[in-house]
Amino acid sequence: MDHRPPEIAEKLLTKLLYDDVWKTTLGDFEEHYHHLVETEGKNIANRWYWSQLFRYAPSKIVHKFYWSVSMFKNYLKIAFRNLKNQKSYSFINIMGLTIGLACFILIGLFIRYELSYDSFHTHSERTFRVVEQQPENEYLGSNWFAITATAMAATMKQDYPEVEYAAYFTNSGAILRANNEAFDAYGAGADGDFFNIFTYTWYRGNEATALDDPNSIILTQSMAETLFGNENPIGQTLQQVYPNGRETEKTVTGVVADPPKNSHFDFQYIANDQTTPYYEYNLNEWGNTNVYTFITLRDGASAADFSEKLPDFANTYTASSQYYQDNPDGLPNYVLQPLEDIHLTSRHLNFNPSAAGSMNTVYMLSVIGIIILLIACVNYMNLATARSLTRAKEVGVRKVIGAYQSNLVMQFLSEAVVISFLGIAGAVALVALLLPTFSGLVERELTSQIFLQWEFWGASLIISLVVGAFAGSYPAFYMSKLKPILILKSQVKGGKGNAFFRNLLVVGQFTITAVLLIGSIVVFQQLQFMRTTDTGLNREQVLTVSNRDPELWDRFETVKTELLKNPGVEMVSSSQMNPIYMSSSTRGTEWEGQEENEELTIYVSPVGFDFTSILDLEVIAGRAFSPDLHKEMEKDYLINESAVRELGWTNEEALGKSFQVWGNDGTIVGVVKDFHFQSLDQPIAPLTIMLGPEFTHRHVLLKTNGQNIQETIAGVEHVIKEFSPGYPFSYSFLDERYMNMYNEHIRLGTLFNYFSILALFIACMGLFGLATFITEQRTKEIGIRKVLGADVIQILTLLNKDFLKLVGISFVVAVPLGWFLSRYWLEDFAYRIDLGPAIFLTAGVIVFGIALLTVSAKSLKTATANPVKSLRSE
Amino acid sequence: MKLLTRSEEYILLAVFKLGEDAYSIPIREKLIEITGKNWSLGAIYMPLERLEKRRLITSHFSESTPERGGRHKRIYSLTEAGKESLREIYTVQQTIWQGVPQLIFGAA
Repeated sequence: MDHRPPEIAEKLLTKLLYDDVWKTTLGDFEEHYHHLVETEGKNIANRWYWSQLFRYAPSKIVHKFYWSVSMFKNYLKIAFRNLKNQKSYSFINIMGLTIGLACFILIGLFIRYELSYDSFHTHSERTFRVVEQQPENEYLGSNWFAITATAMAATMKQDYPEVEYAAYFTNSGAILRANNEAFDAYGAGADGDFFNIFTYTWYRGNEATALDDPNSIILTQSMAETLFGNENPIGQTLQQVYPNGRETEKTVTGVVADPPKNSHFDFQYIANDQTTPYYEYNLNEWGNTNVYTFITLRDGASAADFSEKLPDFANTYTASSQYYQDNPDGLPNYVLQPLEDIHLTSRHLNFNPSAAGSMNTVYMLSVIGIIILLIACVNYMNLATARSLTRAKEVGVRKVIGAYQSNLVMQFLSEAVVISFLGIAGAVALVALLLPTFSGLVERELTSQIFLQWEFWGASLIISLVVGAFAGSYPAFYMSKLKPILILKSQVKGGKGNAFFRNLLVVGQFTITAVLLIGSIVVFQQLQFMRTTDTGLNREQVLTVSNRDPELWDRFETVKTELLKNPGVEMVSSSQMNPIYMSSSTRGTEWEGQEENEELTIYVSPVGFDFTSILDLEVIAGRAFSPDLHKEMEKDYLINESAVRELGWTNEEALGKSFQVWGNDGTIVGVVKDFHFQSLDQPIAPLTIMLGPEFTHRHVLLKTNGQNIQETIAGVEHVIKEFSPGYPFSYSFLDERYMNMYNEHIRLGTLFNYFSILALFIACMGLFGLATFITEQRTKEIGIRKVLGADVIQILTLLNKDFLKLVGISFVVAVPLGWFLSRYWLEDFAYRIDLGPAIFLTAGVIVFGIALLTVSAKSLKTATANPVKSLRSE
Repeated sequence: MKLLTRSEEYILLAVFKLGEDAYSIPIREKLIEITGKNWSLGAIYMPLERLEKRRLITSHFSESTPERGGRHKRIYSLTEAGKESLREIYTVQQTIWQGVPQLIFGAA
């Protein structure tokens, strides 16, 4: 036969006529086809063959659909019946999935939020920040900087046609004063195409021209309300007070909606930067970096191509500055950082406008979310296969009646999907309940707005389908393979392979849980360590009041006297920087005995008298500052032990040596014991404390006696306001500030602990379900054992042994894993806890104890039951 | 018992006449031969299935041939009930036609 019917049509017909077991119809078609080929020709024969397909298709498809729907209805009915009959089993499954899915959804929402940063700007995908690496300038552990020179934006726009918009902004914050009331405001000085690059909702004013005038300022809606109430703010004037105390008058030219929180910088005002002090100077000084530079490339321009031009740019402009002519090796490398990536890829950059997010956190939470969901899925797999015996008869009968394996797979899969649908319904409710708490914990603005988005519901639907299919897959294939003859002859035992797989899953679950638990203990202890460790500086009851009024310092002696009249105040001093975070460093140091080319990078802290005593800094050699011994023309310097070591001296040798910082000649009068003047992430670096001119100070430090705090603060406020009207009063306690530094660590640690506990909880629910089932199966055996004289302890041991063995194995696997991961995490901290055996023992005791309690809850009941009850039924 | 329809009657007759070769393709050809009208394959499957359900015919599967792409034939044969119903319809027709041929076709 050299003629064959059209292949595709034949394949389709074969599929369609699935119930034609003997394929006689197909044979008829083929025979007739050949007949037609011979009598009418091949074309007509082909056409006829195809027409058969279309003639049969509709009725067959309807037929098939009808039956699958009716079978599906039956599956659902059986599924719900099983749910109702096995209440505790259903509860464990649904509850586990609810918690697992809720964690997964919450984490998903957080990650989506993290990834959404800055994408609300119209041209966000072609906007870049220019950041720089200064090869010779390492600061706080990194030589990368988010800030660049003031002139860069305008120069780039002028030189490169592919730059469509360019702008910079500073992020200094200011005091805004209107109608004789002063407010601390965060915001930026900006220039250029700022509002073309960053697009906001405008309530008032003209977006295109609002920033043009040097005296213009744009406020957010809430700032405008704070300053001007219900009046129309446009055209109103206000005083902007720069950090150095200089004031300018600004006119409001625009009001924008409060910017979305998923932005890498936040503001309450944007002011034209041209009136800022040193504007002209900065504009001509490429060696000074103090602004964030942004460019938007033209549509279609390649960022990679543009990046290649940046070295030339540095050679042309940056290298021309006096600073880089003196230090040619320090010439910065410029790099374009995509606007949308700034939030998650700026950890290594110094001077971020606000705390950057962390890609590692995103990864870590994704892994935890998936793990918790997996643990919940494993519960389902385990319980469903363990219970396969109770469903075996049903499987046998269905098979005998004519169900294919595929029908049974479908049935058990749809059962799993039903459970996962119920799980997700609970999860969504739980998410709605927990969202505000969670949102506070991660410090992100996650609102119930998400429930109005179809993506949320679509994603939930897909997740529950995937989870149901995944969790149901193993039980479905396992159960559908059961042999009807064996089942109906009652010869099916929970097979060896099945039990092995189940044990493997339990071990997996508990390994993960134990690792998470070890992790939480490590995180908890590290946080505890940071909270309580002696940083060498007394933070207790030290009040810091920030002061921006230069005139206050002129009368500071009087202010001090007034403040000390307050019975709650024991000591008063001042400092340029916050004593727990001193961040200003210099390389312009000279000292006695300095070799040629020898350099020292040292942190410099200008302070007032009594600084060391207010903070209980220990002077281990020489003396502290003293008003009596202080000579006007020559500076007294204190240096810390690290600086002494770096300079190769002993503490005693250091005393009396001449020392110079920022061109101020002076003498080292004392050595202070090393203390942490930065976060514990950082090692203690060389530091010098000097008596600094008070007008550069930003903080008044007060030691309180710890009693009647509110009264003391009110008294302090009264004095400060009296001497410095027109400035807002803002204060904080040093220990609070200290804790705030670790806010993110604490937040993450707390989150991690919650998730670990939930994982442990879900895993234990699964173990409980498994224990319940297996114990029930052995009720008769236990009855007989008791009749024959076994006591409760023996039976408990018998029942618990198997489970505890599994938990034991898990723990053995978890210890090295947990150790490895904890060590990795701890590497971020310069000062950290030791990973001692106590941590692992604690985790072990907790996991073991909880597992034992869980299993015993069921086995104890069986072990103490009257054997008559279990044996009577037969 | 329900009387046979015309097409059922033809099909039964065709099955009977074809004997061991009574499967769909020859049955269709036979019907075309008997009636002089075109019958589609589909048009004989349905009555065949119906007749089998009424146990007037039975079927078995026979050998495959190469022109069928190696697939089986379904050979039909009359059951006793099938033969009985043919007999019955024959009697009915004889009764009905009695005296009519002379009126229509003239005396024989």
